[in-house]
Amino acid sequence: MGLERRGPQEEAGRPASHGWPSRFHRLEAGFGTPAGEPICWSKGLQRFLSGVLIVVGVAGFALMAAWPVRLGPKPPPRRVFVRVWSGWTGHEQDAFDRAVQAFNRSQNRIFVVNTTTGEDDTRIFRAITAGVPPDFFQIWSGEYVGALAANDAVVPFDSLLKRDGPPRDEFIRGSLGLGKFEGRHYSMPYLVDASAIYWNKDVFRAAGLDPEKPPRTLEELQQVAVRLFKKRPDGTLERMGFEMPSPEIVIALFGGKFYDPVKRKILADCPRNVEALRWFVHMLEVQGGSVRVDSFASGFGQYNSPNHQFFVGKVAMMFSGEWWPSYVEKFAPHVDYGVAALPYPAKYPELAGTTYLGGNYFCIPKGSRHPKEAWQFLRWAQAWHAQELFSSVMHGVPNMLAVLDSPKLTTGSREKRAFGVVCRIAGNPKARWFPCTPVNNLYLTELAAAAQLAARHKKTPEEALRDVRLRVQQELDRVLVQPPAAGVKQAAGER
Amino acid sequence: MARRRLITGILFISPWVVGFLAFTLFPIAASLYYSLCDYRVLSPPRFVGLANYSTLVRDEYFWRSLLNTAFMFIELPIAVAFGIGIAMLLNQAVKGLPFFRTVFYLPAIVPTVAVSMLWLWIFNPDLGLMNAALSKFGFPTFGWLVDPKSAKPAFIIMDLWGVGSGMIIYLAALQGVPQHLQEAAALDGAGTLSRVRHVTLPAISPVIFFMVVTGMIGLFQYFTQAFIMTSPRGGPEHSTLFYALYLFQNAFEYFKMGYACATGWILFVISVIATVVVFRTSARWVYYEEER
Repeated sequence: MGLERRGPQEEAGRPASHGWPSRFHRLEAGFGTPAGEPICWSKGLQRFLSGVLIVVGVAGFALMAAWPVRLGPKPPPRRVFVRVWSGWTGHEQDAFDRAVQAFNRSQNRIFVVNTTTGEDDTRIFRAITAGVPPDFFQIWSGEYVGALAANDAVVPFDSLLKRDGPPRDEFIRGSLGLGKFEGRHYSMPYLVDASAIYWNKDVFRAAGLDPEKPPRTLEELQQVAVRLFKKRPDGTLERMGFEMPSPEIVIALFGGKFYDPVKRKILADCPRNVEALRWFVHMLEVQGGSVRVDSFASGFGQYNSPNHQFFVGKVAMMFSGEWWPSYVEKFAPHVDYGVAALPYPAKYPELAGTTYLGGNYFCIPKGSRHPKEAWQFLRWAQAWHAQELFSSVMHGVPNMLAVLDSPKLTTGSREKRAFGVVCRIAGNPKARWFPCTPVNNLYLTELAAAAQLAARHKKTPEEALRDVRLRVQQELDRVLVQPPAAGVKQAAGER
Repeated sequence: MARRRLITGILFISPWVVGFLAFTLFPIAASLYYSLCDYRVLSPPRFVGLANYSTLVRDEYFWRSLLNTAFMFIELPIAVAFGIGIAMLLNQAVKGLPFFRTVFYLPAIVPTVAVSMLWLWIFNPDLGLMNAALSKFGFPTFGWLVDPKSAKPAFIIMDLWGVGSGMIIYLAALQGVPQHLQEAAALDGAGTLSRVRHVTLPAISPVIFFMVVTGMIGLFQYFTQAFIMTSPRGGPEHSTLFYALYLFQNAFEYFKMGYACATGWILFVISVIATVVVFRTSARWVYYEEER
């Protein structure tokens, strides 16, 4: 009705041009025509232009909808086309593509095509929410597996593992534990990451230390770090004896706990954790304090480059993963280094030989069109040759215990021997990992913030960790509104 | 006939109208609804009333981020003064003027990410140019981005380097200041400072007003520099946890989308109030030609 309203001129007995309300008329007249002259297009032209617009619009939408979006190679006929999203790029993408090709050659029913999605883990959230997930996907960090599991966005593997998978005791314990939430396994591993201590033997020699004798306990680590630590006359640091790892790794070294899955309780401030944070703060203190160390660390070179602090002698000891030997050979083959298990607190000798695990997580999303075929790939990925193939090109630790001793991976060059050391460490049953919860991202961010506040004496370690517990617990209580599924108690007993 | 023409007109503007409805109005309305829900993206939103808002009021980080953002408002008058000052200098007839104008404007065309990466090194406490220059002239040095006391001032210094975008607008305004008013004031015996105060500044006050309002809204949205330059995210001891950064963390790192929407709506209300206050006070200090 309103659209038919006449302009004031018309109401006053003067017809507005073309029957348009006068305000429209003014706009029209001012637009690129002599003042007061409306644009006069012939009816035919108007119809033609409208027709063209409509046809182009409709055709455009139709084309977008119908265009076959297919990345990567065309699947051969009569094979099930399975899409996987992975985050690897560059030479790592090539490595995974080789594994995928090996799988495609190994059988004639399924054809897997890999699409690399970069570093953004959250992309899968959007894909699942939009109802267009891939058939399976790799996710970088365990930070999101718990959130996906808690929202029923990924498929549990338990029945598949029981029916068709390798026995669980053939896996590195943590490789399955990383994706275990409320008693169910929501991610399958394809290689794991294991931390070890790396030390620069040249720096040890220059300081009069035995280069073949790395610190075995945290107390020894502190003594050695103090000896290797160097300060300039102006108070700035020249070399750190030991580069501090993330607080969760230090907590794991002390045998600390993060989460009680039975009671659904965050255990951030349990006594061992407080002890660990005290040691963390003390280690920073003996190396110049938190602000000095942060200032020094802000001048470190890029991680995967010859300018890394370990290569240029700015750091004498550090924790890193199994990929480090390959980085040394690639960026600084002249560096003489050693690798060993993470040190442990002298008063907890039962923790000797420990490591901290992370991994590559593969999940099958709810809404996957080919979950069975995706499982076939993940099942294949656990076989000896598949583990060996991927590990040899990706420099990740095989997640199957038997493959850890593979001579192909662990004997020969300096790089392989060092890699073998990490493989042996990774198989240690005392290895620790961060548990899978729906609030891991918040939890880890809060732990990092708490460690900084404690290191700068803004809070005591107890206060800082208590605040982490309160904040994360509050969030967890909001997320886990449903009661735990049956079987959680049993799962908790396994831990 | 009228109806046909109207339909044709509507068809022509429909791409914009559809875009506005689908991508602006609907998300705004949806965010208001989601702010009343516990919404974690992967599961359907669950209506919780005002729970998100009441949690926010008790959230330590919410207040911290609000205070951090409020601190950045120190930048606003400094940026205005810098912009006008440089524009006045570049409004003088001196040799090499185009060169100087280019030099001062150049930082404004560098993308924020590149600027952040550059200043990350300038502010490096041990190796950076800033501390090297300060110690060279005998001044005390700072921890800049690793020290909570100097982290926010560091951002302000960095932003002032990019004041060229405002400067170019002030310069355009200065060139529109009526010459006859300047001359009349000079004839009446007004000195340079007096002419700046009583002629130039009132004449460009509508532009200053515009820059204050847009600058204010920009500060409420302060994000990119803090996102790129401080680690752990939110800076040393949460000193650079700005409001928009906290909103981003909740929405896209913790997937607390309902909570983030509530945070966004509070920011919207604060921005509206601040803008209304500035608009109300503008009658006292902004002069439009037609009023005279």
